[in-house]
Amino acid sequence: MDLFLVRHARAVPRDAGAVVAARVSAREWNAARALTPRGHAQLRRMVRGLDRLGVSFDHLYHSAKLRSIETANGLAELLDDDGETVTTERLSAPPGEALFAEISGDRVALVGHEPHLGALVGLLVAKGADVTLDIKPSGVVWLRGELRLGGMHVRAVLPPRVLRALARRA
Amino acid sequence: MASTRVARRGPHPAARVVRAIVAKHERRAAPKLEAIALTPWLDHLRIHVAIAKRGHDPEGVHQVRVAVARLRVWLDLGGWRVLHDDLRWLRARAAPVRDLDVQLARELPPAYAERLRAEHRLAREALVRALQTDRLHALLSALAVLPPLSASEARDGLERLTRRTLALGRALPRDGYACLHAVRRSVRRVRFALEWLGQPSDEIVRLQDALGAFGDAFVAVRYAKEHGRGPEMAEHRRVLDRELRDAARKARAVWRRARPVLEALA
Repeated sequence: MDLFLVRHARAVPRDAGAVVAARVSAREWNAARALTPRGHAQLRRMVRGLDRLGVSFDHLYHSAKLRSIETANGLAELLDDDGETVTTERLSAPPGEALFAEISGDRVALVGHEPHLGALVGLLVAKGADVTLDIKPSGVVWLRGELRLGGMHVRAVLPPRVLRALARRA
Repeated sequence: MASTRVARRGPHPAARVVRAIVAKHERRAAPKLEAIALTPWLDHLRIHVAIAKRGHDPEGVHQVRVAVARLRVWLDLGGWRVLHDDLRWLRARAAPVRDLDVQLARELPPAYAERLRAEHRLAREALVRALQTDRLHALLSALAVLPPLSASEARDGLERLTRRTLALGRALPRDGYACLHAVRRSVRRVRFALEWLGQPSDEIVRLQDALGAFGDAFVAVRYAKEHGRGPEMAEHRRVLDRELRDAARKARAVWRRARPVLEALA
């Protein structure tokens, strides 16, 4: 399986003042944080960059938070015609076997959040073992192997600047 | 002298250009101020998921399907590719229960009715399992955070859907039931798009009702083919085949009458 761990693009920041102004709970506000214009630009470059690498997906999983939904919507350009998108709350929580059980496909993208995605890299590559990776907004980690503890290896780490450079090579 | 000349000529040409640009901008910007939130149908879905789970009222399952169809059109109008598959997943679990509810509401040969009741129990178990999954919970949470779509975006989407419907309808006089099904699905989207825009159309509702009756008749024939066996079914299948032919003929006739309405929307 090729597994692409994608951190959502840049979103509006957590802002307590805005929470008060919007009269919603901090949790609701966090779930509804949208991508910024810069985030949308990052997302377009990420999609173009991955496209240059010939990446496509048969399954695309994303969390129920707006910034993840918007990022997945952009990435859906790389989804096969008969590919499937799935919403899962497990991408907003510390990763584990329950997440593995939910995932199917050969070329799969998981669009989620830090620190969970970084911890997932540690679980899949080094069985946890206190290994994590800090993935930047709109960064991608490409893993290959079997979806089990320690069953994968890192094929590529694609931070935003690399994806930007790839996108420019049109 | 100079001031008289200015007064006679009116405002400076540049001012007229600026006003024209501002007016154009305002015309373009105005529809963006209108926002179409999916909240009413998301609430409808939530309420009827609970009713469907309890299982006392078949209307609960029907309304889950209705809400899913409307929400999918809203996503189409807003250009959302994601969440469609989650809604399709939910619909696929609700549809057999509803279809079997409809079959079982009519008079059926007893052995056939018994087989359909067994199918209904299985379909209902699968639906209840789906309604208890994390996927449904995640779907409802995801829909709740989507921002409203702009009316101008929705209007563009409606035009797109209408043009597609008209293109599909061109093959109606020649093609068989497959084309009628495609038109049925497409007209349903146009109807719901109009409703999201607050412009419901009686003609389109009548057309969708006629196409829906064709769809129901088709499903009845399909179930009879799949689950109906024995001599007791022969007469029942003859009745269903006749109903299907009549419903298809009527749907084509209503299509011809409603086509100008669609052309005006495109």
